Formats: sequence, structure tokens, C-alpha cells
Amino acid sequence: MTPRSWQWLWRAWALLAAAVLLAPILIVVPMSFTNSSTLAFPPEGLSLRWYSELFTNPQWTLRIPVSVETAFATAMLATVLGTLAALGMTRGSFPGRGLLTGLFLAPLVVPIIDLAVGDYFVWALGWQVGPVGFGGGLSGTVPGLILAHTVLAFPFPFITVSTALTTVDRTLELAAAGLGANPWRTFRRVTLPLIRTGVITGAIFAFLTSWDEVVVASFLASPRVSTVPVQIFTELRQSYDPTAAAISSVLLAAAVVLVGLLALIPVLSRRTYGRSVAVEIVRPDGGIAAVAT
Amino acid sequence: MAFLEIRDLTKVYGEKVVLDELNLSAQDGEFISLLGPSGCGKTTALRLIAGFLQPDAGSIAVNGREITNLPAHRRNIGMVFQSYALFPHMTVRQNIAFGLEQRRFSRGEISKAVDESLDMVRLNGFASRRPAELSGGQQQRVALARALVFKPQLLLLDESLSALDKKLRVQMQLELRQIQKEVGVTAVFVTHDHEEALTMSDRVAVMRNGRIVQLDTPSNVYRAPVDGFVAESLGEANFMHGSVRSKDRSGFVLDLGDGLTLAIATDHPVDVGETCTVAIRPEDIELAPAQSASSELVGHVRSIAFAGNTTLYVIEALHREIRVRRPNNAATENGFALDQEVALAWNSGAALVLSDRQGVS
Repeated sequence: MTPRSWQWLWRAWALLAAAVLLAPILIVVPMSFTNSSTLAFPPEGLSLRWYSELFTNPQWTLRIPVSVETAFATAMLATVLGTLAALGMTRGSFPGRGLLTGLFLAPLVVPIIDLAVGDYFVWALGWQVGPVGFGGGLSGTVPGLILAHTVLAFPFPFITVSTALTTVDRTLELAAAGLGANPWRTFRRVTLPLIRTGVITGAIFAFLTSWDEVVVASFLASPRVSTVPVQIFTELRQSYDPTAAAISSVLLAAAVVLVGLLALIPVLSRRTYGRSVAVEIVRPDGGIAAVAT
Repeated sequence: MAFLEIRDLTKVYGEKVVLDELNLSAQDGEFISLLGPSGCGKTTALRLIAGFLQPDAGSIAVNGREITNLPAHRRNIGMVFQSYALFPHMTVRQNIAFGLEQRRFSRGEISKAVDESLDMVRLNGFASRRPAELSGGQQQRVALARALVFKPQLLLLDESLSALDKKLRVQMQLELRQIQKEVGVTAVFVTHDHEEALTMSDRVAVMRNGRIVQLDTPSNVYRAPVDGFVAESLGEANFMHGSVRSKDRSGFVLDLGDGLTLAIATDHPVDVGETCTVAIRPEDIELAPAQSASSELVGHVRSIAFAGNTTLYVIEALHREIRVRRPNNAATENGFALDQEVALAWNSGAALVLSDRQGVS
């Protein structure tokens, strides 16, 4: 075959792969606009009735705030903790650093069902070791969901901030100290602005981790307090209610917007932290004759 | 008591003694260079003064106040880094204002002080630029303005000019020194470039193995080095090692071995039989065609390297190669040719007699 036809073959293959990957995601969107009362593909008619259902049916109006609160709080908590951990791991030197880094990354590799069962026992039932009690009573509460999701989401800001920190020139922090900035001011004015991209990226990933998490949330959910993904799962097991497709589309839209934001970060930071080459021509008397940028 | 007083400053990394009981004092407004090869401890000394490192022993006092255990951000010392360390996410104005903001000056005072220091480094039109949009020389000047704007007690410069190209470096040397004098701040400058140290400093501290070998004015360290290491650190030199065969009022005769002798005119006291090293700088040696000169030291031109304002000749004489640097100008004739027989001569006093404890081989 000619190189050209090879090229077409590769393109077709890539398209096929993309289609297989995207189909299950994209099929949900048209289904959510159906007019019939059960889920079907292709959808019958066109209507927004299932979207309005989201705002009227208490089944959903109770779940959406829980999901949003949990995801926001998880993103905040995981990002703060992940940033602190990343600072400690990259800046500090102490025995057991490697082991600790491994522990911080563990939520990525530990089977999620193990975490869910563990979360259930610790947060829901509580641990009683002699006189010391820990956890318990957090089943079916938003704080319980936040704590459990923070464990899952923690590695993302930890990784992104660690990576960002390795690119920060330590001399800049010394310079700030030399200019009179205490450690907190140095972090706030110099380090944090330079790792901003890593922090935002980590926060977005942490948010999304909580936003679509089903397994742990279903262990900790109660009939009164539960999240949107858990509710979708429950609904679909009972009926083919198209509301599930509508809310799935909303989740998808939120994720797409956030990832889009992620793609925008480099563009935004280039505006403020740009690199360009400047050429200076110095006259013999020391004045600057021309500066070309 | 001196303005800057460093006593027995010691820093040890594992087995290695990086700084070995360093003593240094500087007067108010003085410009002192720490000169030495990499690994001699000069940068460590600077970082200890700045407070970025903690010494294992010794003390540092500025203006009568002990600062040894003060954290860096409370020392009120300005520092210009080799890489400038300008904050890339801030404009020139924000960079310069940083130190003033930490000291809680009012917005009006900050604005006024920043404008004045931009004036001082002649970067008035550049306040809203980012460091990445500036040339090396401009970045250097922003770093200097940033380090001086909050009126520090001390200015530290860590190889601050080495990133610049030669021409700009020479210009910045003069400019930096002029600004330092205007401001009147005491400065400690770390460099491995002996020309830079000689050009800029009131006094030069030549360092080796964590110690100051000699601390003196530029002309004294250059003209009266205490040993071969110092002589070599401050520029090219021809070293001749031997023992004193005889002496009289005008100098002595050096026995170089292999039956070679050399008469040295000097008032440096030596004893007959003592071994010593004599250093002669290449620019102190004069050349003349052999037949016309009365000199007893003759040799052959082995190589000629034209370097614009000077020419470097390598002369084979006394069974060794002697480097001779002659100035080139319109009035001088440097018509020596390869393999030509030439006579070498130097003024009395040009020969630097060095104590032999640390002679250069």
C-alpha cells in the first residue's frame, strides 16, 4: 500500500476507536430530550420535560445540592491538604519520605470497593479502640461523604502541586525571604502564584472525583441524604426513567465545562507570565539606544 | 568596631569543612570582594551572612548588632543573586516594591521610592514590564534596585555579573560601583573573576579552602601577594622556584637548579640558602632584540598570540616557558618573530618574592 492509503487507514481506525469510546457517553444526551416516559434510543419526540422534572421532583431537588456541596467541599479540602502534603514532600527532607509519598498516592491504587467498605466501617459505624472512639455517626451525612471523597480525591492535587513545585526556582523563595517576607508571605506572594496552575488543575480533578463517584457514596448514603450518581443508579434499577438521562447530561456538561477550563489555564497564564525575547543595544555612553522585543 | 564583623564563621557539610573559622570585617560603606575558585566557600559565606544557611560556629554582627541567629527575613540585608531571582509573575514595579510592602510602607511612599530607584538604575520606562521581557543587563539593574530600595544595612552580590556578556559586564561593574557609592551601602561581592574583584573593590579577600588567605587593597593583593595561590588568583604570573644562592643590597641570586641562576632585584628580605618562589607578571617583562640589549637573560620566541590591545609571547628561556604580555599601540613596535632571539628584562620590584609554604608548583 502507498503511504497515503496507510494514512487513511489509520484515520479510520482512530475514528472508530473514538466512536466506541464516545458512544456510551453521547447516547445519553439525545435520550434525555425524549418525549416518551421510558428511556429508549432513538428518542421519540423532543421535549425538555425531563429537565424540568429535575427541578420539581424532590427525588432530584434533594440530591443535587448534596452532590454540589460534597464536590465543592471535597475539592477545597483535598486541594488544601494535597498542597500542604506536596510542600512537605518536595521541600522537606526526613526519613520515611518515600513511604509517605506512597501512602499519599495509595487511594489511586487501592480497589475502590475496599475503600468503600473501610469508609463504611469507620465513618458510618465508627471505631472503638478501648476508650478511644473514632468516626461513626457519619452515615447519611454530607460531612461523611466529604471526608470519604477527600480520601479518594487527595492524590490529584498532591500530584499536580508536587509537579508544579519542582518547576519553582527555590532561589525565588530565598529572594523573597531576603527582601523581608516571612515564610507565609513568601508562600502567598511567590510560591502560590507560581504553582497556581497545579493547584487549580488539582482542584478540578478533585471536584470531578467526587462529582461522579458512585461506589463509596452508595455505601455512605441514606434514603434522606444521597448524591446524584447514586440516585441515578437506583432509578435505573427500578425503571427506565428518562430523568436519569437528563441529570447524566447535566453531570456531563459540568465535567466538560471544568475540563474546558483546564484547557484554558495555559492560555490565561501565558497572558500574565509570558516569555519573550528582548534585545538591548547599549550605546557606548551607557544609554539604551534601542530595545527590540 | 567595624560595620560588618564576622568572627570564626564555620560551616561543615558532613565531613567537609566548607568554611573554616572565617574572619572578616568591613567598614561602613566599604566594598569587599570575596574572590576564589569554586568550592572555596565564598558563596557559603555569603549565604550565611544573608541568613539562608545556619553556621555551625562563629558569629555575624552588622552595625554592632549580632544577627547570627536571626531568620533571613528579619536581617534587612539586600541580595542580588547570580540568576537575579526576579519574580517572574510580577512586573518590574511589583518586584521592586516587594521589599517595601513587607515593611508595611504606605502606598504613596512605596510608589515614590520605586520611582526613585527606577531612576537610579535608569529603567524609568520599564515599570510595567515583566522580567522575561527585559534583557540580561536590565534584569540585573532591576535586581539591584530591588535589593537597595528598602535601604538595607548590607548589600550582598553573588556572582551577580557573571551571566552578562563581557562588554555589558564591564559597564555594569562601573555602574554598580557608582550606585553603591551613591547609596553608601556596605557591600560584599562574591566573584571568581579576578579582574572584576580588582576593578570594583575597596578590598579583596582571596579565599581558599574555606579561609581568607589574604585581605587587602586591590593593588596590594596584586602587587604583594602573600603566596603563589594569591598571585595566581589575581592574574597570570610566571613562577620560578629555587633557593637563594647569594644576596647583596640590590637583591639576590636565585638558584633554579640545573646550573641556572637568575638575579632578582628586590628589597624583600631573604636568607641565603632559603628556598622561595618568585612570580613575575607577564606584563612586567620587557622584550628587546637580543643583540641590542645588555640583558643577560635571553630566550627564543616560541609562540605569538595577538589579542588586540596586547600580544602574548611565549619565550623559551631558563629551560622553561615564560609568558610575556606586551601592550599594542600605534607607537610601539612589536616586531618580534617566531624563533627570534630576544632579551628579557624587568624593573626592580616587578619580581614578587613569595613565601614558600604554599608555593605553586
